[in-house]
Amino acid sequence: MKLGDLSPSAIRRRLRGDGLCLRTGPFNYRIRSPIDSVASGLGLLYEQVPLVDDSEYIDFTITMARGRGLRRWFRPQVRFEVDGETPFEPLPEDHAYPMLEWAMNWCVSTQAHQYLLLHSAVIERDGRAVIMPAPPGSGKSTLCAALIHRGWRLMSDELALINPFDGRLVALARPVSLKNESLDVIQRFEPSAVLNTPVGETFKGKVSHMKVPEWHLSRIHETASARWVVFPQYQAGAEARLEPRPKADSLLELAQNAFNYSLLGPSGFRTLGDLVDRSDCYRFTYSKLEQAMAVFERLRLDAQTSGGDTGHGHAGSDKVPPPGRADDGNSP
Amino acid sequence: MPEWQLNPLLRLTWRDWGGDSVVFDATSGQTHQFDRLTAAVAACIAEAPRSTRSLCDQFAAEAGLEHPEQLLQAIDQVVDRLHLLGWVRPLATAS
Amino acid sequence: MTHPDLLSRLWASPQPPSWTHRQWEIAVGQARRTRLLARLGFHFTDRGWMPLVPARPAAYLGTGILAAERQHREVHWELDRIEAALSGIDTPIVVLKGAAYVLAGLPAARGRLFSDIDIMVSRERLNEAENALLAAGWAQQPHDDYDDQYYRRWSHELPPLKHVQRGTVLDLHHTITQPTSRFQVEGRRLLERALPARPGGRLLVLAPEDMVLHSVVHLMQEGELDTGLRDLLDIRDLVVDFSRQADFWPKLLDRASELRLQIPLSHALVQLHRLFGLTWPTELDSQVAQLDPRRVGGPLMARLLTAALRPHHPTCDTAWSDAARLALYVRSHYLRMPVRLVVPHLIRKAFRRLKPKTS
Repeated sequence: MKLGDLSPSAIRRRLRGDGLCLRTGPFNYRIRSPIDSVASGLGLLYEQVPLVDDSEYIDFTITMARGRGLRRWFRPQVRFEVDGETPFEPLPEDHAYPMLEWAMNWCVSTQAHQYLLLHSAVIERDGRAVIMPAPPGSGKSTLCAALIHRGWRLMSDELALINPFDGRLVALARPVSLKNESLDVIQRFEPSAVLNTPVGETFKGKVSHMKVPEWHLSRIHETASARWVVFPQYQAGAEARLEPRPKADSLLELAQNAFNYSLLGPSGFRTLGDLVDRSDCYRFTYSKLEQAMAVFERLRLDAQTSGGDTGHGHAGSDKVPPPGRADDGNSP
Repeated sequence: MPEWQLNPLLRLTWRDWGGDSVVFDATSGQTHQFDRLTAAVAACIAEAPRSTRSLCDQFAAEAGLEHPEQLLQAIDQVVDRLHLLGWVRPLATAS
Repeated sequence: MTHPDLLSRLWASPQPPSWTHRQWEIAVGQARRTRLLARLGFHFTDRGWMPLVPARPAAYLGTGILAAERQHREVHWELDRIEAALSGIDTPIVVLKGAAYVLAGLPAARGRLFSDIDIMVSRERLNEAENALLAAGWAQQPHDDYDDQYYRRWSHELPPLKHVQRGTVLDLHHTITQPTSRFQVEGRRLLERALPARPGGRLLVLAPEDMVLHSVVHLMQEGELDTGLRDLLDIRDLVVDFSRQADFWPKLLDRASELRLQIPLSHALVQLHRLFGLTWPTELDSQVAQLDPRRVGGPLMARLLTAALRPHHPTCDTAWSDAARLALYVRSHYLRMPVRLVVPHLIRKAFRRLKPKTS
């Protein structure tokens, strides 16, 4: 049974009662909230997400509660509660839905150490995954949102889950978070994209979440092997270009974008080492989405024709020349 | 001139792809990116205690350097940093 | 929402629990909150009970074990660095609490997580020792970074030191009691009995009876009962292990009198007896009863039990704490040569010839 099979009032009833239980990738969540925007956000964005029976083990129980005392009514707030604690400061009540998504990420990033966890987007094509680590402002979410409407499967827009035993990536496929200009960009790029009502003036600016098309969710159990690590950097006016990045550098950068690299110790190092071994690593600069799409398409086609996805590709290999110019690494 | 030995607590795993090396120490949980010279010095000391002079002589011979004073200075600085990191320490000489 | 007895019953039970998924959720949540997840994990693995745990909570128990294992690995390194920093200071170095259990290989170390390393030096050398540590890369943390209440409650002689590169936290003491505590012990007396943690090593640990009494006095910190259950488990593990030494119990009771810690000890023993059924040699019954003839420790009992499962107080962000933000956990250090090398390619050749192997 999927969340979309419930009526809006049924959704609200569960949220206000014992909780709405659903599964995203490997994790079961129980969500509780009296706040309407949480119910409507979930109803819109999680339509095809499977529900879970309450008697199953629920990994994370999240409550998006109303503010305490005066803040219940006066400039009302929303609070995120888990395990009897409130890890975040309360926010204005209209931030409830984005806060829920942040809360869901927080639970995974602080507890799911059975995986190596990277702060990055992951997309997949033909069984080969691109990992895109990026600090805020790099444009990774916009890129990710665009790519998944051009044939790439969304595995995650925020959290890469890597199984340390086999090095394979596990999909989460939750709604893609977008902010500020990205919202307009994506709406122009893909008019059919379904977006939640934006919340203005969060500390990240204007924020919304984009629904994941159904076919991604139907393949959520497919794992993938990493084939490329692409460090994106949006740069206004820049031509899209890929620049090979030395593997040692890439490994350190990946480790610095991980939530639990140090916790995993030797297995963290081995997992990232193997991943970098088998992947081509690049810095990617871009400004126009269509150009970016073309670059990724080229990567995909080159991998198809060359095949052999085992530990090749040295730093310095320029198998994929950036569009339009020789590989001198300088922008116009 | 002291000989330097590797801290016996270290449990090192190296990965190398032709550029800088990355080395992980399981004891401290630290990951380091070493340039070529640092990696070479650390690798040599890991094999056996060495003095900076002996390292310099070896590297200079391999490179065909006639006046390796700059190299010796560089190796001294590498060893200094490795010492600060806790990776190497002077071998106590028996008196 | 809270089910206080789920975990405390577990520790003393000889049978594995048969919990529903919901109870497992609660147990894992409580263990997490009270920093006992690792202990819970080891509790099940040591008894061969892990196959009985459903897959999802088993994974979380596993992550708890991961954290403890990683910390124990790194403690040895940290102690090595501390010893190196203090190499020129003429003072004994006594490792205390969790780090001591790991160093000495005690059963109490199993599943034990701790955020700081505590060491004790002689009172006379305290300032010199601090200066040596500052010179070796530890720094005093700005007071504002703390939860103010937390800092004031602990009222350490010296504020904890944080290492600038590794991010680990070190507490420097000259005794085991807080300045504001009503129980005062002179460090000198503890130093007299301290023993090398390893044969021939410089680092010391407290004598068994003092180690127990330290943990006991910790329980009685004025108003600080967040880690009550964890401290009790520590004391239990220490006592059970040390009880194998023939003269341990008499020594413990005598030392408690000597250091005027009878009341904390009595209190702890009562709790241990109640929660875990711990006993002592029957011939010492009257001596144990004499520790606290007026039952002064009584009112604290209720507080301790209710506080035992209170959410753990968030510590300052240390390298071992579960930071609740997008933190960078890698400690990496890029050593770059300032001098342009004349023949880098030949150095590379030298390096290749001595191809490093996994050591």
